[in-house]
Amino acid sequence: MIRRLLVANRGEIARRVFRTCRELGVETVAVYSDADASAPHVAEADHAVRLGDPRAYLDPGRIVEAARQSGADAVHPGYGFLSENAPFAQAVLDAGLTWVGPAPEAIAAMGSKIEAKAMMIEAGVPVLAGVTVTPDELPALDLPLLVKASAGGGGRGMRVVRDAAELPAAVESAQREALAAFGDGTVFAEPLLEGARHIEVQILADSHGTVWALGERECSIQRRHQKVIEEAPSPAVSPELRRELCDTAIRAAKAIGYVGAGTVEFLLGENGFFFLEMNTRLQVEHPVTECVYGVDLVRLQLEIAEGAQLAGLPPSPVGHAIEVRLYAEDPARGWLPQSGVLRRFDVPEVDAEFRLGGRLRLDSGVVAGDEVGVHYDPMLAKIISYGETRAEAARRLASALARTKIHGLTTNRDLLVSVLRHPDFLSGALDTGFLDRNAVTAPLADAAAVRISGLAAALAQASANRAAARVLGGLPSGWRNVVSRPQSAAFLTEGGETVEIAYRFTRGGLAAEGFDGVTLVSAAPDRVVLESGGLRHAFDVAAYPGLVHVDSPLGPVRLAPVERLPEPVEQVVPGSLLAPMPGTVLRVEVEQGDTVTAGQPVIVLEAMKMEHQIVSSASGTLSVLNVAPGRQVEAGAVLAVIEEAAEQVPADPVPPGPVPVDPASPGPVLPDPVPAEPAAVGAVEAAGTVEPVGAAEPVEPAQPVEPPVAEPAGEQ
Amino acid sequence: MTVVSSRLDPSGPEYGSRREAMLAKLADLDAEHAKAVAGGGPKYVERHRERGKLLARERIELLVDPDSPFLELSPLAAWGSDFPVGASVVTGIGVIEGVECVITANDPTVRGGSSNPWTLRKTLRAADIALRNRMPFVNLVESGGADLPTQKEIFIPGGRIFRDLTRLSAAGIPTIALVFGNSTAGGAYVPGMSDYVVMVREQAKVFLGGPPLVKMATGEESDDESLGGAEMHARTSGLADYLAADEHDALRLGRRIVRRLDWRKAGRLPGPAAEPLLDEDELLGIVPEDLKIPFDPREVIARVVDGSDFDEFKPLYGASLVTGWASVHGHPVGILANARGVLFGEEAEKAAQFIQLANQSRTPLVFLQNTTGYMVGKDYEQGGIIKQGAMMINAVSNSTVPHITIVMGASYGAGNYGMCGRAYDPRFLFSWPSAKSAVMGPAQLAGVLSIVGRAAAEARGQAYDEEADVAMRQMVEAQIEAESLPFFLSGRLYDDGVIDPRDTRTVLGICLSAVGNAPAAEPAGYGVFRM
Repeated sequence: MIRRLLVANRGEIARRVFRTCRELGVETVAVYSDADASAPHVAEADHAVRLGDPRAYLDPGRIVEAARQSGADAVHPGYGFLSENAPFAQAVLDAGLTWVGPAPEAIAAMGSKIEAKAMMIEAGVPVLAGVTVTPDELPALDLPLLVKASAGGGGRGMRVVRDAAELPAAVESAQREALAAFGDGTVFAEPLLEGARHIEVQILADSHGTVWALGERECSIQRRHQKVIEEAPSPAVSPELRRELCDTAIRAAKAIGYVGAGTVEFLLGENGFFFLEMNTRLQVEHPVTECVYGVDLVRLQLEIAEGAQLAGLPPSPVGHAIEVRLYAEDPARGWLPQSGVLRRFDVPEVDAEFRLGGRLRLDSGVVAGDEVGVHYDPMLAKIISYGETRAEAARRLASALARTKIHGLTTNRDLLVSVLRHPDFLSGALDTGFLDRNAVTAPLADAAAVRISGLAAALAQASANRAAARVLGGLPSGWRNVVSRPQSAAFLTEGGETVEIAYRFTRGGLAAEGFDGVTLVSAAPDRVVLESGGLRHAFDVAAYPGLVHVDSPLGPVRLAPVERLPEPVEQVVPGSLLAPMPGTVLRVEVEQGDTVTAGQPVIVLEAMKMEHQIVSSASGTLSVLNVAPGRQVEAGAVLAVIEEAAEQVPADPVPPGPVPVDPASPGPVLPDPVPAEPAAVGAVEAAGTVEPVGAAEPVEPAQPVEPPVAEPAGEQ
Repeated sequence: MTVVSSRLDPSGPEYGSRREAMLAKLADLDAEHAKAVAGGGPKYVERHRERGKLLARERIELLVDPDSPFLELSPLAAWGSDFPVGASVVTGIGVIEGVECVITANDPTVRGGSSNPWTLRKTLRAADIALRNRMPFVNLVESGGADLPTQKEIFIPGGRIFRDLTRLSAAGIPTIALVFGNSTAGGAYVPGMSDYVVMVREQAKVFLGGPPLVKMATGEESDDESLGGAEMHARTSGLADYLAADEHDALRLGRRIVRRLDWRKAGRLPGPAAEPLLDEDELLGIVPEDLKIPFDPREVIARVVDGSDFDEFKPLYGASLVTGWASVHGHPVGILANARGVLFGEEAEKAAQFIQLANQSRTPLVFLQNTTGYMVGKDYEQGGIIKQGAMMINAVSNSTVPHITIVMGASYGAGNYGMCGRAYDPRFLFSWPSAKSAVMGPAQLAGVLSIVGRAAAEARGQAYDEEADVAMRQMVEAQIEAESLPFFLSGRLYDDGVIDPRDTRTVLGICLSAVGNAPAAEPAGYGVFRM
């Protein structure tokens, strides 16, 4: 029996496993990096062990040491990180601990996609023909095809090739990326199945030879090969096909003597289904299976690890479940991951957390107040709805999401709602190209909704201003005996537009310019009720430093208030080297056009009889040189400008597995598109560099800005 | 809780016609205010904007706290004179960073913001309000100096402006000058005498003599920037404490300065306040068009004071003057209101006693005027009405609590004095559009002249020219009528503005809060004389 379980993971999956542990009476041990020191999973565990470095979740030695230190007798790997790392599984076992997962050999066998394919062909599982390729060895294959990293996952090292001429370059770049990301540059090519669905089968095998297949999940809604919406059962799978898929999955599991929970992934096309890979762990999307089959998969994992037998017949599916993954990312800007403080996170009508039995389930890795950083996967939470029918589940989930209050971060929420309400989604016409094909990145709130939300934000602010007034707080808002102009407020929208609001309270009520027929029913700092065209709507307003969120039935709106009287901002081009004090230029160490590295001396200034070295702020090219020796300069003068190198190829090879960004240099890999303090947005605007929020960092499609994922190995 | 019960019938014809008359007067008032707001007119406003500058009221709007109230003072200054309504300056009470300040802003669209005699009186009045109520004084400066053709009315008395600035400072009241443009010659002493000076880069110009004058005086060749530019004053002369990048930055700096004053009000903080139970909108239908008809001031009080709650003092004695206690926006007040116009001996005594009581408890007094003066006639003279009136005037004159006067209707004769008219230095005085002030009613005045003229003619044994008498009476009546109207009097700075009766509660709320910046004075050294 497991007494004390260490979960070698973080975020929602750690919390998910802990919940089952509490139910079973198993003590829990959390591990955490310094970045996660105040994360919910740490607070919830009975014991917690500090790992330090953000990458430490990937360090088998540290984790095993943590288990020893905490007195744990078992280790659950969660998903991602070390969950499919055979040496880690072995190290856990060698330490005399119980490993909640399949045998290291099974993990290793499935770790190489090429080897796994070969084994499956042997077991009679349909497989897409895959051929190992190198730039020198390019067999003639039917196009289009997909070049994949053998050790890969998470979309990295993956290239679609439609033209034979592109193949060598695609292979080369995939190799380079695979080597950097996984430490193994082996890539292979397989036919690209377009219009196919991603279908996977949940299997559960005990150590006594019983293997259950708990039906399929459909995970066709993907962006950049990462799953976004998953459901069970699949609308495309008939009972006959289900039986066939399940039989095949059981065959695959038995072929490698699999024990524990695992997933066999298939591509379902017009010509049948084909084995993609097998995931030797719990999947992110396991809750949809739990809902439909009424089982606690983590509990079964633990029981199997304790040597229990799967008793009786496998359960049968009832109803329909859909899961969405809420990511802190901006779908409208190339899915750029977002970082910042999650100010508020309220999902309405949630009746279960990390457990089955509800109609709306929330598995969240974060709580309000958490800082969402750049170190890990930007998934905030999973929200799962369950209903008698697929339509019921989709409607419930869309509505709950639309009404969810998510403040502080831009997320993919609007996109999720749009997909859940899309006719093609509702009719079940899905395939992995859904998001590429359908324009669903438009926000839920249209331009008119944003404008009236701006009015609500201004009126809420006015109410807050009156309530906070130290003097004359009880007097009428904005009262004037001689009227010259209205009160005004301005906000920057997420689209980079400015919404200007001008309002006045007259004896007849609210008079707001451009809002004819809009009347104010009530205004409080957190809630404004407006009537427009005979319709009354309540707007919930939440103001944070430099940020206002307005939630209403018209759609969630995020605004950045524009400062009335901003501090003047000196217009300085990024990369400018400024004179720190008045002085005379003594030497110029480089010439215009020269390549410079960060920290390299560029100019030497003499001031107060001292030499001051001005060094380059970044690596790049000296694009502007404003001074020559002997020149007098004022403090703050722009001496030179360094144009940063556009493409930053990671200089160091990165160890295998998922790659958390080095905390010291988060810049090039994970551009932070939203300034932490949106007050800066106003300042930028005032300086005349009118750039929409977040557009400062262009998206580089050729260089996948894939975040470091917690679940690296093979979401497809 | 003593709630005033109303006998006003808002559905009756009397109410309707009074309301209509008042609305017509308010429309006229709006039109006059609009003239002040229009400044120098579209052409000069446009030119000012083309220079990238903000208008005077725009500057004020950005300076004060968002959504806070702003009470503009003397907006009708110069009404009826040769100068534009508003007198090329905006003054008022506004809240900056939670601090009530007196703000003045030159209107550069009106003849370059130059000062005329009315500008001077309006500015001095604003400084006086700042001093008496201890409110920081913030000047938004952009003025072309004195209006030279009327310099004789400005030059000598105008020196008070600079004297007032430094006296304010000496009294511990901060003075702040935000210089947006010209502030030259004498005007240079506005920043010169202020505690804090902000100048806008490339706009502020502060010197005693410009390049032509310097050339004439000493032969020196110079330019604006080196004589008085903002950069020069910030870096070289030290006259500017802060160099603002632009107008918005100057206003931002002004707000920062006030924030750092750590200003604390010396008076009492207001208590909780309930809105009046009766509709303030009905204040429009209370005052009769013909001021000979009296009205019950309790109808007004019930629509102005907190919760319509009014504890009347001595209700059965001297019933032609209503006295009592209430609060407005949480500020306790004593109210004196004329009920039937005439003040008799009893009313005068009651007023004197009530004023003394208010001084004992340091409660501010509100005077609601509708008086035709003290009673005349043999019986009253013999009964000592002069002594009794003098007692009331004595009490008003030497009362040390803040007084605020609202002229609702008539303000004639010595009633104007006894009820704290302008000469009795109320902290604030506002008029309703229905107000009239004069030594006596126009008809009475004309009639008096007629009787006196007739008597003189008779004494000389001459026949009295009846035809000329009619013409004289008409002319005098018309002139007195015109000169007793609120716009005319407001134009001459005899009040602090004409207000919509529905705003009375708000205006009183701002004024009562403003007076609370200064500490309460000690009461006089006698016990209360029972009358």
